[in-house]
Amino acid sequence: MEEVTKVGIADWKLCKAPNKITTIGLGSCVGIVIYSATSDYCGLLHILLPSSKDIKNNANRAKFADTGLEDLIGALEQQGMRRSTMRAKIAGGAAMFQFSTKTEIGSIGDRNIQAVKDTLAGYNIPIVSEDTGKDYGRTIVFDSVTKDLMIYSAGKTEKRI
Amino acid sequence: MTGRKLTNMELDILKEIGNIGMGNATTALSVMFNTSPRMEVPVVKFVDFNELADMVGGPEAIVTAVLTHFKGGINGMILFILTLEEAKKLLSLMLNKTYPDDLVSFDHMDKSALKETANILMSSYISSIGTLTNLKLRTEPPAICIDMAGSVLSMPISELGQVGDQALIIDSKFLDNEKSINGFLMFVCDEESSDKIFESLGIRC
Repeated sequence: MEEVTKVGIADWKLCKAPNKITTIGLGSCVGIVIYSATSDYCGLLHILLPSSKDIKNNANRAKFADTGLEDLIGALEQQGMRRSTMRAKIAGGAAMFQFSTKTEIGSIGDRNIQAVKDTLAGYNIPIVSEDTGKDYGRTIVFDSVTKDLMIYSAGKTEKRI
Repeated sequence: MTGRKLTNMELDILKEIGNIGMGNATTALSVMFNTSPRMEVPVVKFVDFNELADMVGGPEAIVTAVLTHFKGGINGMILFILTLEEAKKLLSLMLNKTYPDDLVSFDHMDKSALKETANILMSSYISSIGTLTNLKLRTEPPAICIDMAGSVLSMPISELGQVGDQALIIDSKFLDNEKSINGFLMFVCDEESSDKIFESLGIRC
């Protein structure tokens, strides 16, 4: 029987075939799956903020795109996954509330997406597919065997990317 | 307002501010409801991010949330969150409508009624903080979102995440004669702002 590993907010976990890995209710947060065609392992990171450098209180490294990805990639490499074979799928980064006035925090979803893309580019890890932005929440489930990322949203049909 | 424990006295003060704010809000709401809702003493506590959504039925439960930023002497945001069931109860009381059990979305009128109710509650709360602390606070126009609790909360969590890993929750409960409505009022501000509140009240310098 396969298991489903749950990843919380500002957290990452690894998962090994044939299991699945999920994170529930991504809003402005971004979920990043890193996998490889030549490895049984994959990892999922749920980040909250773009950069650890902007903030004093940055002890929880999984909260940020930069330090979270560094740790996740390092952990996958320890399981023998080669950097050059790593691929990413990302989802989330929505703007949940539509304010009449623009605020910095209102665009947090967009900034999270951009930070994740920039960081992955820095590691030369290609993004194979994404479902990002817009104004609704997403629950994502990654299948370590088929490498499919399922996306579930309230009142919408499920998506496979 | 995170990253460290508040003293009992500070918690009591926040509770009292909550009571005063809620008292004002009840008066305003009783006119709208054409009834006299009572409110219970709010519960004030810190909650970890990953447990926040559990308070409103779990991260995948659909909730209605109204969010307002406030500015002035202190900066932060305040949210009013209802589960779908509680929102239906509130709306049927306000608008004399009935809502099917399987309904998961609301029309424009419903949303606007929810937004207005929340706005009254939140503004009353903020203005009572302003009055007690002598800080000039103003609220910005609110926005509403109906989605999974986890997703909805990602917004305040992101803002809070810049200063810590917990949120201050003021759990409010309205009671009507026949129906009771449970709602959460979530008050979010950074440490600097909470220090200012306590300083203005003369209990910390």
